[in-house]
Amino acid sequence: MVQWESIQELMDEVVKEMTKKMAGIDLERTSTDVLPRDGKVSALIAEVSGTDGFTLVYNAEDALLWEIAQNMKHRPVADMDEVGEYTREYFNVICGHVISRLNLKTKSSLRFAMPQYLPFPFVGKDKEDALVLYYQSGKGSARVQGVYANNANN
Amino acid sequence: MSIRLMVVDDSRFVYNEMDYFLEDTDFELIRYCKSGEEAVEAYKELKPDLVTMDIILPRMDGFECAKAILKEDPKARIVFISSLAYDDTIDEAKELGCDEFLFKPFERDTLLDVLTRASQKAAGGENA
Repeated sequence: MVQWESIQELMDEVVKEMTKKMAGIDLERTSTDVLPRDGKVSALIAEVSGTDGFTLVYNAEDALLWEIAQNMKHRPVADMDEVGEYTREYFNVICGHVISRLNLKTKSSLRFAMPQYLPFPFVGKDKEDALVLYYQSGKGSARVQGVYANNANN
Repeated sequence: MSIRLMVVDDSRFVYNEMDYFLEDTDFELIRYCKSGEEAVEAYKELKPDLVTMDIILPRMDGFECAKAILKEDPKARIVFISSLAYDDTIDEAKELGCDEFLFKPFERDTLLDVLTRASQKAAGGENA
């Protein structure tokens, strides 16, 4: 079983580091969920396979994803489809670094599939075993989760 | 003379980033392929000097694609680009004879260093 507590700090480190490096945005970790329930939120998800199957989920306000995509492109983005394309790569890099560091730390052989972009929030049915990290920035908020695949549900 | 480069990555971001970083350099982006299958066909047609190859691709992954290209042209120069750092993916790339590896996200200087080294090896006639 994946020890979520052991990857919590690793995940946090990678999310903040890659967001700064790829998009120049400082994400600040918060202790509570500040993702608006009625705002426009989209999701990035990646299925992880190996010794354990689980899903990494990144729910974020569209305004934040838009800013990330625009900064990655160095030019204005046209629409949310383009935002999806760029942020998919952003999450791909995050997942790559998390999985690589986790493999190194735990001597495991986890792999992940190319992340998907969903133009709506991802909601897991059962979050009891999930890792959850909350973030905010000047452009919007985000929630990063790790949920077991058999509990995941759109 | 420019060094003709083919980019294989399912993300347009990587192509745009290279386009941005390689402006006014000796490298010329001649083709962007979103899949391994497309890359194998494009390689036969264009015979680029260098190929950058993502590992995680839909259907045919980067390693399978590299094998197919190397079967077609054993002297092909392929640089793997991946976010899978600190991993056995590096060993897998080396087993194919691809000893240059670039980690995402990359910076301009790193990109140029890696591509320059790979192209010099190609010009020097080292095996891929």
